[in-house]
Amino acid sequence: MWWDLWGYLSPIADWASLPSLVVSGLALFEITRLRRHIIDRVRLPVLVASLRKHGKNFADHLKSYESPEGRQEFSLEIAKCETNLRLVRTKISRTGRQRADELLKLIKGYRASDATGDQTEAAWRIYTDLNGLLEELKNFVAEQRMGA
Amino acid sequence: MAAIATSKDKAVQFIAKLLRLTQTGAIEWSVGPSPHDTDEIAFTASIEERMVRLYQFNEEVRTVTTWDDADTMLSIRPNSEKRITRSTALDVLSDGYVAYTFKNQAGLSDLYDSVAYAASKVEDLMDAVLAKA
Repeated sequence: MWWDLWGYLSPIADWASLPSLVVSGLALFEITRLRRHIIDRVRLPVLVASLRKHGKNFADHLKSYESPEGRQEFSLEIAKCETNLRLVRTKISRTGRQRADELLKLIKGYRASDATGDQTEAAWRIYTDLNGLLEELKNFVAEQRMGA
Repeated sequence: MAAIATSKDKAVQFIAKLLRLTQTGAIEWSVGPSPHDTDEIAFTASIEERMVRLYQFNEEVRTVTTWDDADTMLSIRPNSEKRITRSTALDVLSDGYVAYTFKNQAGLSDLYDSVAYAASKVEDLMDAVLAKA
């Protein structure tokens, strides 16, 4: 009789809930990914603008790099720039990330030997490479704005 | 870095080098008229027997803000807004004509600030005023 089937409903429902659990998990993963993507798209132009500001400040500090005060200001700027650079690198393309990593390596090297020897060349290299990264990011941010 | 070096990198390196040479006083910049606006100035210098001209100007740019669905799905119209931005350009001159222009390249506005500071001889002015009794 039909009520004999009643006993099968419970295990059927149990098994049917498994695919729905998988679907829910995928939906949650997608929503989280989308949320992170949207936040990154909003934050990236702000972070790029702050990197541009660091570049401008580097250029100013390089003017007085010969003096201990100038070098100290440059080092302080580097610390601020490093923080923003780490935030930017997680939100950009692979090529941009490669450049950011190279720059972070340069910064690490500069900070490691900050007190020893002439660091003028390294300081100029950091400024130049930051500008190279900014050129790369200019296109990336423009593409994001166009919805690519 | 060498693996991902492009001609853009070369331009960035060129501008950074100009900044460095300007800061050390190896390049002498002189003041002249801007090609864009008569009220503004440009800075010119001779580098390797070539003339270069650096200036800033206001430029109207359109930026896409949102996308609107038009009559059909195939015709989506961008909503854009006009903005006035400050642009920086470096002309490479050949026989008085513009042969090439670097525009809004990263570091170009830093170069402009440094050149304006050096060409206006602000340092000399400050020293002269501060030396007065």
